[in-house]
Amino acid sequence: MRASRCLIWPLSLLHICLTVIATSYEQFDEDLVLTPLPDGKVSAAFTFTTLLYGAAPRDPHTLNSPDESQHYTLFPLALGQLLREHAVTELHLALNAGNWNYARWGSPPDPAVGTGGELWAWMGTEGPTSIDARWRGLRNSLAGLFCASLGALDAVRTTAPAAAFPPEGALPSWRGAHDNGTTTSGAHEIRHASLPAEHVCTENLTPFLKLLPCKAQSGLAALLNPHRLFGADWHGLGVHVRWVADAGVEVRLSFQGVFDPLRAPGARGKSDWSLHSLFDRTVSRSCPVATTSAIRVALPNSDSYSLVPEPASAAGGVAVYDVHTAAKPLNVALSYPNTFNYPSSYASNSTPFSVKRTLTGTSQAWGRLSVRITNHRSEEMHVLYLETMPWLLQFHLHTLTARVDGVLDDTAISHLTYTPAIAHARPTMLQAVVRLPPRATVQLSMDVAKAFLRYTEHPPDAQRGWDLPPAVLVPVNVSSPLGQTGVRGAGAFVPTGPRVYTSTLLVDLATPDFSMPYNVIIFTCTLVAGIFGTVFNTLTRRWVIVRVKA
Amino acid sequence: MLLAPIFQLLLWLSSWAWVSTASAVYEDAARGFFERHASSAGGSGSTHTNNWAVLVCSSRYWFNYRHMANALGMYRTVKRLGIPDSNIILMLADDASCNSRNKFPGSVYANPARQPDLYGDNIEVDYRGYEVTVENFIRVLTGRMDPSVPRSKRLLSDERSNVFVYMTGHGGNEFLKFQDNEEISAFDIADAFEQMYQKRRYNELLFMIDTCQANTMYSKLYSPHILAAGSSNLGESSYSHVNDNDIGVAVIDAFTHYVLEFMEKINKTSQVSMQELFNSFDATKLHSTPGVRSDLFKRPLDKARITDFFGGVAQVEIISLDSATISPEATSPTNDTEPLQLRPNVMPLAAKAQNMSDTVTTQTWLAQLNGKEWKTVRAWVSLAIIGALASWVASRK
Amino acid sequence: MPSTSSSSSPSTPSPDLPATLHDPKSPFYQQVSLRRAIIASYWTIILLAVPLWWYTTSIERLALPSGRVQQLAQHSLELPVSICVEGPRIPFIDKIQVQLSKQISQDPQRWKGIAPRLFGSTDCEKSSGNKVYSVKFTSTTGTSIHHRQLHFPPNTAPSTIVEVLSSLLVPYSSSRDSKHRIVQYAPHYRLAFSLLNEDAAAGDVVKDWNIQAELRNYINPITRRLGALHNFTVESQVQFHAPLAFPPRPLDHSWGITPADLTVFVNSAEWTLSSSSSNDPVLHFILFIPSAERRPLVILTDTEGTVSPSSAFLVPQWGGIVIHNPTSISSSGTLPDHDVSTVFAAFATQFQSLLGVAALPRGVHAPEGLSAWQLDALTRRRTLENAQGSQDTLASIVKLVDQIENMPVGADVRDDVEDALAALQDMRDAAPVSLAQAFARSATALGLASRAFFNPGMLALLYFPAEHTYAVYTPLFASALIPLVVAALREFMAWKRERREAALMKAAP
Repeated sequence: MRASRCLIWPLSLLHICLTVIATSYEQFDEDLVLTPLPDGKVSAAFTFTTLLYGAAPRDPHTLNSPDESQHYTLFPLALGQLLREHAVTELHLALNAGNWNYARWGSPPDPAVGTGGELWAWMGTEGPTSIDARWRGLRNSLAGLFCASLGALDAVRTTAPAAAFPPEGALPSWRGAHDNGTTTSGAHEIRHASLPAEHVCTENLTPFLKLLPCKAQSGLAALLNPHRLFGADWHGLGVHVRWVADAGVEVRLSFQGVFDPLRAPGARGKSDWSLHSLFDRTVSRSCPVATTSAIRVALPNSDSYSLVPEPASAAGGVAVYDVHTAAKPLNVALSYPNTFNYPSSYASNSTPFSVKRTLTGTSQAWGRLSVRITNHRSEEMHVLYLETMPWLLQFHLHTLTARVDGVLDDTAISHLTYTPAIAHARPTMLQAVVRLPPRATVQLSMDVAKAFLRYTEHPPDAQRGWDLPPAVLVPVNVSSPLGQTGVRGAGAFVPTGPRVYTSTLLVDLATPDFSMPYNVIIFTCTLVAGIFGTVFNTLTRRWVIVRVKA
Repeated sequence: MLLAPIFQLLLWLSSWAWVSTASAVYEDAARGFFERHASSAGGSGSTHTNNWAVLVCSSRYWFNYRHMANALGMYRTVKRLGIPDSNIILMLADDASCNSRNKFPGSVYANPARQPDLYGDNIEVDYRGYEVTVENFIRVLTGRMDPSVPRSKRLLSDERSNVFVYMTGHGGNEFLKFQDNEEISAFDIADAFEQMYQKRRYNELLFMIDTCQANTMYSKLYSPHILAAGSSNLGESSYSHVNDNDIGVAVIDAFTHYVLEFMEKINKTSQVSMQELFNSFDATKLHSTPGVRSDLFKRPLDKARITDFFGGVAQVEIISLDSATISPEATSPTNDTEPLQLRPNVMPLAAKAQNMSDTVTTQTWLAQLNGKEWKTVRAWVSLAIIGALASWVASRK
Repeated sequence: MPSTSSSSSPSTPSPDLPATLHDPKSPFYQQVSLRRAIIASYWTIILLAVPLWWYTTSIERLALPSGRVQQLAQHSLELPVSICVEGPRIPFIDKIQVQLSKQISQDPQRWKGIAPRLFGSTDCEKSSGNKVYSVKFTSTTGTSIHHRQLHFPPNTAPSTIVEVLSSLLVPYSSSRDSKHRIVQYAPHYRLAFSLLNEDAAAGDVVKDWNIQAELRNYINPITRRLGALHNFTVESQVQFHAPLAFPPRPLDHSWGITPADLTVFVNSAEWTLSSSSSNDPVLHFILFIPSAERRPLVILTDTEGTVSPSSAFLVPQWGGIVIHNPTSISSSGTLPDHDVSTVFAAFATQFQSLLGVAALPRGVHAPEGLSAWQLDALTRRRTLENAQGSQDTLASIVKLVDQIENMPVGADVRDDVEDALAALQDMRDAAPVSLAQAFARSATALGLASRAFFNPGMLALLYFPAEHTYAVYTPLFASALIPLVVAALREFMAWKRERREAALMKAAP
């Protein structure tokens, strides 16, 4: 570092002057929503929101000068440092395990339910460091913070699907003149990557809890018992940072899980649950710095159930407990008089449409990718179908066909955007708007070619295969294709509903016999050694006449 | 035929050169030996101020549960004895606790009684899954990392750090297998430790390894201030200790089990020495011969405490709140300077010596050749053989 | 294989051969010249392939300037210090000089690298452009310092003068404690101030503190003064649950921490002292508020229970901790300003001692803040440390590259080493002229040497045993080379024989 010493004094004065004076107001809220699901399971969604009033994301133009000092009380310092270091405007990280069953469980509280790790961020494009360099720094810092292998989300897995992942907060414009007279446009771009094979375990939860003001000692976070959370049928933790324009920077840490009370040892066929039976813990102390701390229980539709203790309020089918005022230890319990009856069919209008994606074919050289989307509504709708596929699976786009209820219909697909893959360098990104006629099933299918990997690219457990990231479907409104300000790329549609993720796929690529290189060397050398002598002798043989005495 | 005498001359020359380099090799080895010990004579007893631990489980798959339990057992021990998470680099090649095969999610146990839970509620795994590679391991030790690697994945030790390196997995004669598709050899580890020594990244280093034929892994070390312990000799396997019928696989290895059992008696302020730990190794219980290499370690083993390597006790100084003058009152409860003892060679361990095979470097000049001289010798020998062969062929009619 | 030594048969066939049988020598492929050409072409390809093999299997190992690096080790840096003694006569100055030399010879380790020179008042102008320290004997209020001047009362003994001078110029004793406490040099530091509530849920929680004002009052003056040495980034956080790893010992009406507990006070497992997203070293300053159930919490000096007057302590090379038992907290949970001031005074002291700012000797009065003497002493110490560190690192690089043959050395490593050597040379040139310049160059050299040493491209190739390579390739190369060698030799000898016979035939009539 060749920092010029003569600039230190004015810079340190500048640093003092830039010390933020405002915004000592921070607010922390926590929330737990418990929803009984139709198949007897219980969905628990924890949300911890910290709002830093008056703050704004860092302008990437200021990355070369020292940052203002950060002083937080409730806002997590580790996350704040990371966001300012890489000048990130909006950040979303989700680490999930399991498959979210949309048919039985409906829409998840937080839509990011793709299996494995998923990370996307909106960052300003201009500035001394490129957005890709900052994306790399962000991934590595998050990998260090959350003990996840996010460093592996490199260019081979990164795409920029701006339409399917619009910014959830506002994007600052940073308009106006900057230091040396240049004007900034405040353009932002998205970077998205997913790692479907990522495991989630206690080492991801430990740093997550350390970001909370009350950690796991008091308040609702005390319920997060890793031994129960990671035995759930589905669980996922999420970190969402966004900028709310007239408020400040909001960090929302969420943990969702789907628990099965029928699996508990003492269930005896009844789907009763309580905080103790789900988490093996109860809320014994409330978090003193939480402005609101509430447990909401969605009341089941059946007539007979009993909910103890008495909630503070029960309106619109939701019972609310205020943890600050409730009697401690607080153990919310819902019990039914009768044993649980599995419904014979699940209401198919829990989500407006359902999707199933499969990879068919028995060959290790090609296959067929097939997506079936069923519209449960009685009016026509459009969905944006996003497929980000690693280069291992190459699409033959000319074979993309759409069938509506079995009938070939080319008008079902429109607004196709396709970024082909570059082998070993970039994934494929396919975006299309699919028209779903009312109560119809649209089947998209396409031939794919499976790549033949280099010997060094196989993972250590190559026989398992490769996980493919989920496809994302977003219901959109095509009649008004407005582009959002600050978002690059034409064809951005306004989403009218939450994202739906398909399941991940496992593709089996041809694996070599990994002991072959040594065998090949030996074999080739032996063969060549054997043949060499013969060839050489043939070429240089000298024929003479030998007289044999009769 | 002029060629036959020429080749015989060549043979004679090569053998003469071999002998002379060999004797030069002996002198070099002797000089190097004294140089190494002379340079370390200026050092004093344990003067470390912080502790680091690098714990590596290099095996993948569910049936290697015991290797992950080994590494986690060591992790819990060093954490209990005071080394903070920021000073521990834990590398686990697979996920055992949240594996879908694990009947007890979020937990890893090392005994059928399932006490204690090694995974616990508070754990940080720095390298996991595919990130546990030979390259990453060597980068951690040598510090040669890309600038974007976060702080929690770096070994930021300095010359006053005691470093504890523990490796477990499947191994063989001078190699250790990483994730079933690559290996690290004893030479690579020796070179990595030498680079650490040159950049003064450790004060003293304890290298403990629990694999099959583990003692061969420390046979190539050559940097000073290293103490090494392995679980089995050349040609022996290290065995697992106990199975858990509900988990379905073996849950701990014997060597690590007995080490952890010994460690249960140690707390942060205990004065138990490393000698006692090594004395507790029992080859009959382990079904393999554990070994210790202490010739590179300058302090006597009975003066080296277990907490020097496994514990992380800090020294504090109370200062007064009077801002005008600072009057530091050093309160150092432990770690006083030890009397210097120069021991140029390893002493045979007392008691139970017959149970341990100490890899004392023998005095024969052949064994004192290090890599470079051995290569020269080899080159001359091969030249002599080729010369002999060619002269035989040419001299035939 | 029967020997193919040919009888000297001419190209004409023997008469008893049938006409259909050609002389073996006649077809084009039996020509001697063709055979020799074939053998020569094999050898040509092998000889051309050897450099290609060498090129494709070699590791890039550029030459490092090892000669210059070794030369460095012989020269040690000397920082000259000019002291101008005003007022007294030459014999007095000589007495001071004698005392000074005695001091230096008694403790050479302490004075290593510093070369003090005394000048009389007449020679003061001759001293170099470096900042000059002046000693005056005009004080009426005892010994005091002001900028770079040292005021003594008249008639001070030379030994006292020399003692005060030594403790101002080289205040660092070579004791282990001071070496262990002071942090290693780094150009950039993060100062992390944390307010830790042991247990907020127990009540009486401190939610906020007026840190910005206190930073301005106490810490910013120090960071400003030390701005030439380090850059600082300041950050702060408040934690609400920071449990202790041990139960404090209950005394009557208070709880105590024994010295043994103090060593394990920092509970890194539970406390979120965030490691920063950058790789700069961090100095932690912790204000610990015990739980409302265990107040007041005091430090004990020994196991019997003597309470220490101080509630602050330092963890060497890590940071400082102050334990504060609040008597009153405002309703909004803010700590009163007076309390925060006291705490920050302690932080400032800890900060200074961690960075290596030495205390002034007793009895010397100084105005508030860091004096130039202390700053210069620290700069000199850092310069010498950095110079030594750079030299050691460069020597290690050279030694390692020699020792480990598989280690690649790229152009960036070589450039960094060259630049570090150039910076060290500049440092030597600047040393007699300007201390600040010398320090800056030494810091640059240290940074470059470290960057060269920790270059990620210098990862030695994994050990690939030569035995395996030979074992794999010997069947191929040995069985290929031997026929080639033998055939070439045979052709050569045949050629020689032909020439000899041709010469004989020419000589014979």
